[in-house]
Amino acid sequence: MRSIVNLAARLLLILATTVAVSSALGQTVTIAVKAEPNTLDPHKVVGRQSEAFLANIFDGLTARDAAGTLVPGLAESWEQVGDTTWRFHLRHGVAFQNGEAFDSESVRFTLERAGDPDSPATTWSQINTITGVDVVDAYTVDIHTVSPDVLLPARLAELFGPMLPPVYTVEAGDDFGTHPVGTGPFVLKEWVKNERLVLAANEDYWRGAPSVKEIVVRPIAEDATRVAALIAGEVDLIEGLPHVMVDMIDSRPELRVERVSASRVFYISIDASVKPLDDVRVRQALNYAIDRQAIIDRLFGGLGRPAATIISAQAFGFDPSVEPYPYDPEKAKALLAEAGYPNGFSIEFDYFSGSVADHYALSQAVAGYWTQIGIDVKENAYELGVFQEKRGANKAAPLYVYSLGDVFLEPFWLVEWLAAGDMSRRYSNPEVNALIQEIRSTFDASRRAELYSEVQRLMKEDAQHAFLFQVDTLWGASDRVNFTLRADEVPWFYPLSLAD
Amino acid sequence: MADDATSAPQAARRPRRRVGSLWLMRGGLIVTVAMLAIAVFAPVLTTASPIAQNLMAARQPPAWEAGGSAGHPLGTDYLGRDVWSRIAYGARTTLLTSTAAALGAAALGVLLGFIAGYYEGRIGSVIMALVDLMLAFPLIVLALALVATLGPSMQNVMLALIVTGWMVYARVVRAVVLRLKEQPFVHAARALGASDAAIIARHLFPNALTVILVLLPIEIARMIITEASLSFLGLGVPPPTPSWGRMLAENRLYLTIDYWVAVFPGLAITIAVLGVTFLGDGLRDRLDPRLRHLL
Repeated sequence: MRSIVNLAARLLLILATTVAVSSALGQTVTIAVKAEPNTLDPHKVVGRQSEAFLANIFDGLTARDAAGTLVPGLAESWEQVGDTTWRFHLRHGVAFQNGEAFDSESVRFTLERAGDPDSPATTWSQINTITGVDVVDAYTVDIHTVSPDVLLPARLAELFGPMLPPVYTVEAGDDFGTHPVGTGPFVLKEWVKNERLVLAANEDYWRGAPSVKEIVVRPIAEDATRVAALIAGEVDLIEGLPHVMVDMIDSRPELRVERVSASRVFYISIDASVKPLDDVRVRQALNYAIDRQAIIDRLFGGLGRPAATIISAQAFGFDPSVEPYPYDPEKAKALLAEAGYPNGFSIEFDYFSGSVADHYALSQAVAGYWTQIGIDVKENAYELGVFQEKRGANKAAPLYVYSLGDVFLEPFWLVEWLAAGDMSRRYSNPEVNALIQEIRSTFDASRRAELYSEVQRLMKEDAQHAFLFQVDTLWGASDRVNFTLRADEVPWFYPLSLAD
Repeated sequence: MADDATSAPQAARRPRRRVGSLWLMRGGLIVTVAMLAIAVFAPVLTTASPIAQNLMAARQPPAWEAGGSAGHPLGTDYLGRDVWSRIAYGARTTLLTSTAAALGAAALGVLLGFIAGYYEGRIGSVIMALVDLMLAFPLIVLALALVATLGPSMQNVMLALIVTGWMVYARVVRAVVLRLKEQPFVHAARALGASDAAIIARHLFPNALTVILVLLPIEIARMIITEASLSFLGLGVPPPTPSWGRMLAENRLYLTIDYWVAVFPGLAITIAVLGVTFLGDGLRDRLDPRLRHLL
């Protein structure tokens, strides 16, 4: 009898706490993300997931609006004052979350810390055109680049240009990553690794205080688990809703799907230096063999668009007249026969699972299409980490899947990335290289657009990749919250608000 | 029940348990034979290829549901592959790897067990120390590490299963040999001038065979699970070869939407393991009930 009373008392207690918790949830928004950042030190972050998260705590000199356009951030305006010098005019009256004032000195300190030759920032390669910073006055800085760099203002946006408070950063040392201070809309309140990260509104934010006062961010790696948490009402918002679950969310009146076209282009890298892929006809056959639209329709719920090159539809310089390879298996077979492989050939194809974006299912589908034109595809399905090691050692198979998102929406860097030569990045076309060099230092936008058109034509024709498609980024949302996604895939919680 | 309590409970209980185990063993035998038949006759029993994709026919439900078709009795997965065909051909993968690996592990384990039992001394201690060392590892982790290092392929999966599976044979066979080798008939054989090899082959091995036969199905069942786990974790037989574990892994996202893509391979694993286990248990009770405490 006593044990029953005991049990009842415990149950009551549990019930009472549950009620207390849910009433506290009234003002809090809970968000499930795929993974938490590895650190919140902008110079030690690894991976896009971590980099993108920083925008909630820090600001860059520039920023992006919801449409992806470059807008002022901590700098109110910027201009070129020489071939290799950009001048930024800083916003007045901005303070870091610990009270330190933001000024030219903060910019100089931050960029010098990022470029410290002894321990450069993990993101340094994205801004390493910078050779020096001159403080002109308290709110004006000149930033020098090694060569004319049309991209510098975009480089110093939220991902790679978060500004740090000089005094606190030095004081905090290695603790900065877990106790960050920026100028951003949210302050880190609590971080229990692998469990939750609590953000509190920065009431003095220079854009105005955020509407939601507390955000709990929970890392939930498994897609199905994240969706289950949303359906159960444990979380209000989930990142990375799998495309196949759209109907499931739509069928529930209290939930909805938020979508935005993302710049990430999926592609297969084709090694043009090995037989039989050295023959452009074979590479084109691989391109004609794939039904891109069918993969988008079946695996991504129709939410995407076929791609002709690495240059995404929303990027500067995108030329819609360069159309993606159509699905034409007959032509693919004819090209193979012409190249001397009427019965196909045998080739290795590396793909992987476990990445933030799903590369596994689409790679299987691509392998299936190649099989249909008579190619014997030896599939190697790796775990992401194992594959990255192989790729990093320049040992990826002649065919491998990958994807790239254009954070700058100014795509010459993507082409440079593909042609880097190391880490299984094998793109090689001297003509394209020359064009890219020209684009780098062409400040006239219409001329640059022309050059980009030429790049796209060449990249499509030489077929050293099978560019596949871009797919929409999807989030699942409860009707409790208002939220819109940003086109550059940054999970930007500032505009988040509670529905009334 | 009342009968049991009043009259001769011991006598009444024993035969009853045997009857139950006999039925279980028969059931296990039927399931095992059926599975073998499905694996062998997979090309006859299925109409679709297990690896052919057809995105236009993706995610069809089983034949008995609205939208299903007789061409795909258990439906299709997200790439339009036939689920029934993948299960049938997957039985080949599963049975081949697990049986071959169990036999390989048995060969290795029995050999080492004989050596350890017959030549006690230093060699014996080294072998038994190795057994203890191996058993101290979490075996699935060891198998994972092996396949990850060597690269996923059917041979390497078998190798990993053998390397992590021989210890139980070695241990049991050594115990049997230790007991047998002091028996009068062994002493007699030795006195008549029989060589060690002859004693092992003629006198010890036949007597240890029962134990090995009883162990085999139990070990095969364990190997089916380990193989499925490796496949589930992406380190099994590489695609496009169908395997039950990989089917589960690939389709887990669809579990809540297209139940058939994950439920049927899951059932296949469960039924296979239960069938082989019941067969093994029955064999043990039949051949050597004393082993119940050992196994």
